[in-house]
Parts: sequence; C-alpha cells; structure tokens
Amino acid sequence: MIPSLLTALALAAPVTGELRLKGAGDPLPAVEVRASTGQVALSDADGRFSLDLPDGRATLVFESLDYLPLTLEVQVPAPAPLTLFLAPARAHEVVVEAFKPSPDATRHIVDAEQAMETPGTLEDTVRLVQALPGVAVQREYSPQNGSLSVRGSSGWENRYYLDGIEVPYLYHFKQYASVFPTAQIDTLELYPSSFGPEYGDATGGVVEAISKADAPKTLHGTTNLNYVMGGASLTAPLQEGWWISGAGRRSFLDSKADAQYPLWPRFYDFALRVGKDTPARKTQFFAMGASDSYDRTLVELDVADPAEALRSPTFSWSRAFQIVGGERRWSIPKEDGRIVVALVRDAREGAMSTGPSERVERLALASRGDAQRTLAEWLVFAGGWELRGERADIAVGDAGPYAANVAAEAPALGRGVPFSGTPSRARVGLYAHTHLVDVGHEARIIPGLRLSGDTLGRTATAEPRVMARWRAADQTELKLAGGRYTQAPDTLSLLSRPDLPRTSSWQVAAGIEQTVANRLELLLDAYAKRLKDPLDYPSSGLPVVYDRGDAWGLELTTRYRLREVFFLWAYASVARTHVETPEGRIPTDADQPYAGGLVASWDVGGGWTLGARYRVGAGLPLTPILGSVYDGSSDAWRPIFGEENSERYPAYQKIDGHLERTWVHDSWTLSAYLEAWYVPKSSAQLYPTWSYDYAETGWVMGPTFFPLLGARASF
Amino acid sequence: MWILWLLACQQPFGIDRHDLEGTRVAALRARTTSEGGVPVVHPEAVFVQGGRLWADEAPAMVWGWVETPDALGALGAGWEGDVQGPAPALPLDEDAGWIGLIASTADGAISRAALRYPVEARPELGPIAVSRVDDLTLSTLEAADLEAEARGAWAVTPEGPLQPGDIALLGASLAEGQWTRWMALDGAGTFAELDAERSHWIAGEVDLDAIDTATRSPVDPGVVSFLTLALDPSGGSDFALWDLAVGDAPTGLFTATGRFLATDTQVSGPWVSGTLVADDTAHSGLRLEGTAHAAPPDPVQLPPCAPTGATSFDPNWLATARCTRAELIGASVWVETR
Repeated sequence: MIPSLLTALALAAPVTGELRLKGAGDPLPAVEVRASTGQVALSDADGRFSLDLPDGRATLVFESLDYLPLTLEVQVPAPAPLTLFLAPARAHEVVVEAFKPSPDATRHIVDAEQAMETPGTLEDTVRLVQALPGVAVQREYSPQNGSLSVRGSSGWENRYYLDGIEVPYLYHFKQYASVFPTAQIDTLELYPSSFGPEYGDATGGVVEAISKADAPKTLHGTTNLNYVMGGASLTAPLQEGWWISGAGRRSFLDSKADAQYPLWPRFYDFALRVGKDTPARKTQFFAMGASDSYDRTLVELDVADPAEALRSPTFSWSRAFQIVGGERRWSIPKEDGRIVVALVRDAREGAMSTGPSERVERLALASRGDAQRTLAEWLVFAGGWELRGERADIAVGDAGPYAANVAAEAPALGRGVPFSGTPSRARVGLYAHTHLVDVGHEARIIPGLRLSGDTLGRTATAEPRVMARWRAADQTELKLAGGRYTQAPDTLSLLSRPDLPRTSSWQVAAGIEQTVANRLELLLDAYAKRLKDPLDYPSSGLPVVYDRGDAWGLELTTRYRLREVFFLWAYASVARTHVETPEGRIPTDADQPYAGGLVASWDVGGGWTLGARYRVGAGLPLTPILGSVYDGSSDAWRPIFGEENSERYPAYQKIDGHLERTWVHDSWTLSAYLEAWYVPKSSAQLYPTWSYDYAETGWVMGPTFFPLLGARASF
Repeated sequence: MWILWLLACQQPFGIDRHDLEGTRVAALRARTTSEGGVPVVHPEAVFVQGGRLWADEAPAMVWGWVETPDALGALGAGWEGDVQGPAPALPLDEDAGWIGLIASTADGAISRAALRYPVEARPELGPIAVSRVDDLTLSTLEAADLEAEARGAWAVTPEGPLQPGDIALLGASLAEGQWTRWMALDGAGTFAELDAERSHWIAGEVDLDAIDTATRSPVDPGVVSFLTLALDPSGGSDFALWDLAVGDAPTGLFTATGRFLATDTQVSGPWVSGTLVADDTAHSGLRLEGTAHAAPPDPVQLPPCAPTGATSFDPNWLATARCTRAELIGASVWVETR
C-alpha cells in the first residue's frame, strides 16, 4: 500500500503556470487547460492553473471561446512555472446589435476599441456614428458635417450623453474628433428614433457613450499620434477593487499661425476617473472636460482689400465644458441600475476684438437614475428620472456690420439685438415602463410613459410610448414601436423669442431582424414621424417655427462574418423629410432621399489588417442665392435667397482604405497604419461659394485623395 | 478639419471688387435739402451699364423707403417705390431707415441697392491726390515691397506724370474713422490699398498674391476712369468719379470735376465750348467737337437732363444715369476745365 502510494506521488508531478493576454498582459481566468493524459483544469481569477501529470512528455491544449487555442508540449516535471500568452479570438466587427430586451425599436451599438480600426474613423470611435444607418451621409470636412442628421432630424434635435449625463456637444469643431477620450469608452449606442421612455427632450436621436468601469487587472496604457493630435491614457488597479484611469488628447498644430487664423484652431479633452469594481456594484467618480478655440479674421482675406483686412477686427471663439460627478452601477440578481449625479459647466464665447461679444455660461446640476427589476419571469419593471437644473449667464452684443460674419458661430451676436440675463431653468423627466413577456412564444410588449416638465418654457407633457418584439422563428424577430416625443427650445432662443413652442412628434418604427446560419444578419427597419411646431435655427435671424413636419424612411442593414477573419457590414436607406410652410411643403436640411454604406475588414494574417469603407448619399438640400442687394452704406452685397432648400448638393461618395500592421508582444502592442481616402471629383464639393457680389457661383473643392499615417501603442 | 479646408481649393472668380464691369450699381450717396420747410432727400447712384459709364437708353430707376436692404430682395421690377428717375427728390421718412433703389435696364437686368439714411455723418470727398512712386515700377516690384510698412515708406513725386507700368499713390482726405474704396473701369491696373485713405495703383496687371511668378503686363497708354468711394461707419457715403492719363493721352481736356472729355483739337483754358458727338471709344461715350474758348452765356442753355443750376457740362451726368448719351448728342455745351 505504502510503496504504491509513493510511486503515485512520484509520478504525479504538478505543472503550474499562468495565462496572460497577449499584447496586454492581463491574467486570463476560466481558460480550460486539457492534457493529453486526460487531466483538465481551469485557470483561476489570476490566470493561474495547476495540473498533476505523470512524468514524461505531455501535450497541453489551452482553449476558450474568447482566445485563440494554444497547444504546447511540456516535459514533466517542468523545471519552472509556465507563463503563456493567449491571443484574443476576435472578429473585426464594429457594429453589434444584440437581440436584447430593450424598449427601443432600433439601437446601434459600437464597440469602441474595435471601431478605432474602422477606416475613416481616424482612431475616434465616435466618428463612426456618422456612418451608421439613419444618419445622413454628410460631405466630410464640410461645414455641415458633424451636425448629426438622424432619421430626418437636425443636429439640435439630438441628445448626447456620457454615462447618462448630457454633454453639450459631441465633436471638436463639429467633426474632427469626439469630445470623449476614446480610450475610456466601452461602447457607443445610437438610438435613431422611437426610443424608449428613458430618454426625452429630443425629437431626433440619442447618442450615449458608456465608459469602461471594470477594474483592470494590471496597469494599462495607450498612446496615439497622428498628423493633428496626440493622446495618451493610463489605467491602473488600486487596492481592494479600486482603480484609476486618466486620459487626454490635444491638437498640436496651433503653434502655427497665418493671416486668416492668427491663432490656429486648437482643442483638447481630458478625463480622470477613480472607481471601485465589485462583482455586484461599480462606483466611479469622474472629472472630464473639453475645449475648442481659435482666433480668426472677420473678413475673408481672399476677398478683402488689404486695408480693409487691416481694419477688420478679429474674432475669438471658444467653447469648453467640464463635468465632475459620480456614478454607481449595480447588477444583482433580478435587478440592475445606475445613479449618476454631475455638475456641468458649459461656456462658450464669441468675441470681436472691437468689443461686441456673445457669452453664454451655464452651470447645471444634472442627475439621472435608471433601475430595472425582474418581478416575475413574465414581468420586468423599469423606471427612472432625469433632472437638470441650470443657471445661465448670458450677455449678447451687436456685431454691427459684421453680423453675417459671426452668425455661424455666435448666432445671437449676429442677430444684432443686444440683451443680457441670468435665467434659471429646471427640466425634469420621469419615466417608467414594463416588460411583459410571453415566455412560451418569446413575445415582449414594453409599454411606457415619460413625463417631462420645463420651467422656462412653462411646459409639461406626457409622452406614452410602447414597443413590442416577437420572436416569430428561431432566428427571426419582429418589432414595432411608437410614441410621443417632445423637445423644448434651447435657453438662448427662448430668451430671444419667448413665444417659441415645444416641438412635439409622434413617431412609429417597425422592423424585422433575421439571422441566417449565425453568420448573416439582415435587419429591415421602417419609421415615420409627424411633427408639430418643428423649429429651425437659421444662421442669421430668430428661430423659425413651422406648422408641421414629417419624415419617413426604410433602412436595410446586413452584417456578415466569416471565420472571425472577415467582417462585412452594409446598409442602404431611402428617406424623406419635409416641413410645411405657408408656401407649401419643403424638404428640410436633412432630407436625403437615398444613402448607403459598407464597411469591410479582413484579418489577413501576420499582423496585417485590411479595411475599407464606402459611403454614398444623395445631396442634401441647398437654398440657392439668386442675386444680391448692394449696400451702399458699407460697400457690401447682401444675398437674395431663392426658395428655401429648392436645390441640392451633388450626390456624395467616399471610399476610405485602412492598412494596419500590428506587432503584438507579450505585454504590449504597437500598431502603425496607413489610411487614405478617395472622393470622386464629382463629389468633392465641400460647400458653395460666391463672388463678392453673388453674381458668380462656384464650389470650394476638397481633396480627392488624401493619405495619412498614424501609430498607437498600448500595454 | 481646418487642415483639410486649407487643402481645399476654389477657382477664382472672373471679376474682383475693384473692377467696374458688367451692369451694377457701384456707389450711392444722398443729401438732404429743405423745400418749403419739408426735408427732401436727393439720392444719387453711379450706374455701370455693360461695363461703361454711359448708356444710350436710360434704366428705369425706382426709389423708395424700406426698413432693411433685405426687403428689396423680394421686390422686382414692378416695384413702384416712392419716386422714379435717376436723381429724384424723395420726401424724408425717418422711420424707414434705408433708401432703396431698383434699377432695370432694357435687357432685363435688375440691380438692387440700398443706402442707410439718415446717418450720423456723411463723408465729403475732396479732390483725389495722385502721386507717382519714384523708385519702383511694375517690372521691379518684389514680394517684400508689398508689405504695408514698406509701401508706406515709398518716396513719391506729387502729380508726377504716369507711364504704363508706373505706380501711383492715390489719396483722399477724410474725417477720422472714415475710409475709402477704390475701383477702376474695366478693371484697369492693380490696386494695393495702403490705409483707410490711400491706395497704391499699379499701371499694369499683376497678381499681387503671386507676384514672384505672375505675368506682368503694363496697361495700354490712355485714360483710366476711377471711382473713389468714401464711407462713414454710420453708413454715410460719398463718391468721386475721376480720370487719370497714363502715358500719351488722346486729345481732350479734363473737366473741373476731374473727368476726361475727348475733343477734336487740343484746347485749354478755363472754359471751352463745343458740340457733343457720339464716340464709343471715349470713356464718357462722347467727344466735344467744334471746340472754342468761350465762357458760358448767362443764362446758359443746357440739355433738359442737366441738373438745376449747372453751368458746365459734366460727364458724370451719364455715369449717374441722369442723362443718356442719346439725349446729349448734338447738344452745345460749355465745359469748365481743370
């Protein structure tokens, strides 16, 4: 008995080691380790494993759905513990739309890290939002780009959130890069229309970014650099589940100067987070902010006489916001939710060197709470609130003869009606909805209600919404949603025109989601909106109220993946949107009869990735200029506009290519990429331009081909 | 974004704001008189028609009070306004704020213009001073010379004769805060403004933004017509039309108002009489024949379109559309010379 036991002990030697993520060094838990001799083990939370194997040679296979399998020959007993690195098994998939209980008819989810490699995003996940179905295809780098037109809405009809707190704007200078440090973003969600009652005060779409709140296992960092900006981020674990994360980006070309831009446009953003991650709860405190600013001359130097240019005042424009707050997320059996409270400062100023300026500074206390509890297998209840109390400090001067030159950036200054004030405003939204589930047939009905109130506009609304989903077959799901949506005018507009009404909208959306062989997904979405009192904010003059408006559209989206190395995503849409004026129905600025897009990525192997993106869209409406009035008091010409939106830009097409080489070392990764775009000459018009007296019309043309290089490193 | 905007390009337009070309209102001014104790406004416009400062057919000019210049955009040739004609008497409406003008020519072209009125101050343009830059010409000009500071230090000879390729310094005298604009008929020459009151004018064509590589071509010898516009920040304006001889000028005289009038023989003297005949090559569209030295009789006989109280013929009557060339052909006139 004793000899046989000793023999067994001698033959069963332990093979130990730890598994880590290749390129980052994170410990990998729950990886199955299988020996050719039949023993099996799972790696623990620290990635460690241990197998008792008989002496001699053995083959170990490491397998997990999340990582590429690894096979290893070992000699038992092993001379030392093993340290092995597993590569992630991922497809270059950028848009995920889960069949997940949701009160929203359509939701597009962007995985932040993978979206960075998508051609055309320039390492900025949020830029991909501009390419999602339902978002009008804009001429990239034109002045209009970045003002998201979602399912017929204009940019001011949307709301942008970071972890439930509304951020004042989404993109630096409307388009170049998002105001969120991408390194800290986990996912981005776009709700194009007919969303659930958890969001309100928006007749357009909603974009919400969700930050990473998981405690890292080890220290991580990234740095990136391209031709305009550089950035870095660092995330580190602290003790007892606490972690800290910091990120920042800054443009670096403002050291240059030229006559038109005495101080070049510059921007930066930053975020600092401290959090605690436990299995059921995640808590974080954050401080973040962004800033955009530049100085420019008020006259176009190409047109102005030299002496006129010398006389011209300069115009300094800046916008910045800072947010500090805290968030708690929890997920316990049958219940999950979040509460976030933040203080938001949003300041913008457009000032002429001669004195007149438009200054708006808002200080807001914002809070949001969302909770969902499963009461029974067939019943889920959700509810929450959204509160925002703000005080604004507003001072607006008169730009005088330069009104038209400042209207785009400082519209109130351009209106020439000086005023000042310190209005206070409180907006509240309360919502609730229930998920009624027919378990057997997997049908789900989600009726909900949102109550909204606004003290400045003195409005209160009740907005019923309902959504239904039905899994008609194993891989087929039908959906239908509808409801009422309202939006209050912004504070500055309400002060300048107190009679502005709250826009209301009835919206309906329906669709079918079909999966084929778990590889091909097809989604067909249809939507319609009917608006009462839609607003328009022209670049000069007061806001305009139309009587009615409407929008409808059809969107077909497909996704295809092949063996985790090839991914294809494409969509096509047809849509129309109009408003009713006393002269008749006219298309809105966002009316795009057709649009389409395609994203493909291919993991070629050997560290090489190839990607391409194609976008096409009908030209957006344009109001022609028919002539001019000579202003003899300033020797300038004022345009005479033709019928509103009666002409269109040419159709737009753009192809982006992305070639990336990644060197994955055991605990750090380096990537270098070449990106290039091609815009056919017939699509290269950025915006129209006119001769000094509007007698001649031309186009400012963008480059048809543009390459750029970039690099990033992470550990 | 801005980088790509810098990469963006735009084809240049054919006409810049210094060129008096096409058909358009090029300048406006107005003054107030009292008629029977009632203030009356007398607006006046420089009207370029087909690139000329004269026309055989008068444009239909309708004047009226409007609240904003933009209001004119919705008005067409059918607008009745308050008064009609090239130099009307317009009863003052202080509430309106702007004088509006719609001018229609026989070919259907419509020009709209507006002038703020009344204003706090109206510039008074005196004689335009013309000097010749001494040491630089079109052929020797370099990019470094074009800096405003360098140009301000250029030595000049007052009233020096100009040859094609020479550089002139044009100057007006205005009140503090007022400024000038400079234009030339047919886009002749090249302007380079110096400050609020002065501009250099190069008697040649050159792209100043690319002077090191641009083609340089002197203007042809002859007479160049200029329009100087003076503006006040309050919206007041004044203008002066004047001509300048470059190189060998054709036979003719300069009127007391600075305009050139072609004549059949070279004459001089404070007053010259003659008969106006059509001359398409002349900047005023007219030439004076049968010239003689003669002071005007009292009372002087002038064409019906002449302004009340005038004694000397002035080619500016055509430029402001007060007279058509057809109305003046065959008229005997007296001209006060410079």
